[in-house]
Amino acid sequence: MSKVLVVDDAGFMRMMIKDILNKNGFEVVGEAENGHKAIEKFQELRPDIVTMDITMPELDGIAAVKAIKQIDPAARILMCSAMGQQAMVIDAIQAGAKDFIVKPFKPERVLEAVSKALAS
Amino acid sequence: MDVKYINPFLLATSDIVNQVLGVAPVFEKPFIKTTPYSNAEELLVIIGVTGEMNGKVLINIGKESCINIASQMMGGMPVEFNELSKSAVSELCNMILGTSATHFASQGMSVNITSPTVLEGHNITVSQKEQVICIPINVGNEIKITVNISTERKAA
Repeated sequence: MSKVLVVDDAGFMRMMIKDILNKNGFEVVGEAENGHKAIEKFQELRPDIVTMDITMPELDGIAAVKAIKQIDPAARILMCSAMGQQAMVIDAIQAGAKDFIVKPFKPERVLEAVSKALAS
Repeated sequence: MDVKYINPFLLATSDIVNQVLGVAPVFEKPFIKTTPYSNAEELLVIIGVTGEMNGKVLINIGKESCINIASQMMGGMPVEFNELSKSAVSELCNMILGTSATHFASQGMSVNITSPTVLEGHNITVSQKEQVICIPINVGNEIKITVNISTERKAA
């Protein structure tokens, strides 16, 4: 079962993403509410994939992606943000994210993106 | 404030409320609020706007509306007024502001937002120096949202 780390500052959003993944054969092994915690949890848990919010306190998601890619260049990270403008998507992809999901999302979109990223 | 700087917020609200709550919001006529002003409802979600638009948006939502929004966002599940339902409302506001930023980007303006802060209390009074444009919004009969916008185009 693929292990997922869910990163979002909103407890509600973490719960929704966890629920979608847990119900569809993925194992959410950890959660983090800011970029610093995400880096710590990534090192500790070594998940197969990370879902990453962008707008977060302390350290934003794009900075966290860069730090995680330095730890593990093969890390698979999916951005999951309410900020859908092109410049933000480009920043995220350049930082090393595999895909970009704009909130609000449908469960199928998350599952499709996770499966695709895991297959790559 | 130029209407073209208010429209992205209205478009985003309409878009997100439709998608997330499944009902088209009804906007009341926007008006300029004098400060200090007090908020009739218990929750105040504050989101900062940075970049080529600068300022903040304060969204006032009551407990009942909060419960109704959270329940709708969880597929109709019964919910209580607690940290989780407040988080759901704060996320709804985050999506509205995030989508507003995307609309500003399509007008060629680079705008970012801060993560939301939620205040809870009775008659929270807000004092601020900027002009406030207030837009009351009704979503069906059970959800009422008051959006207070105080953002300015940053001088180039």
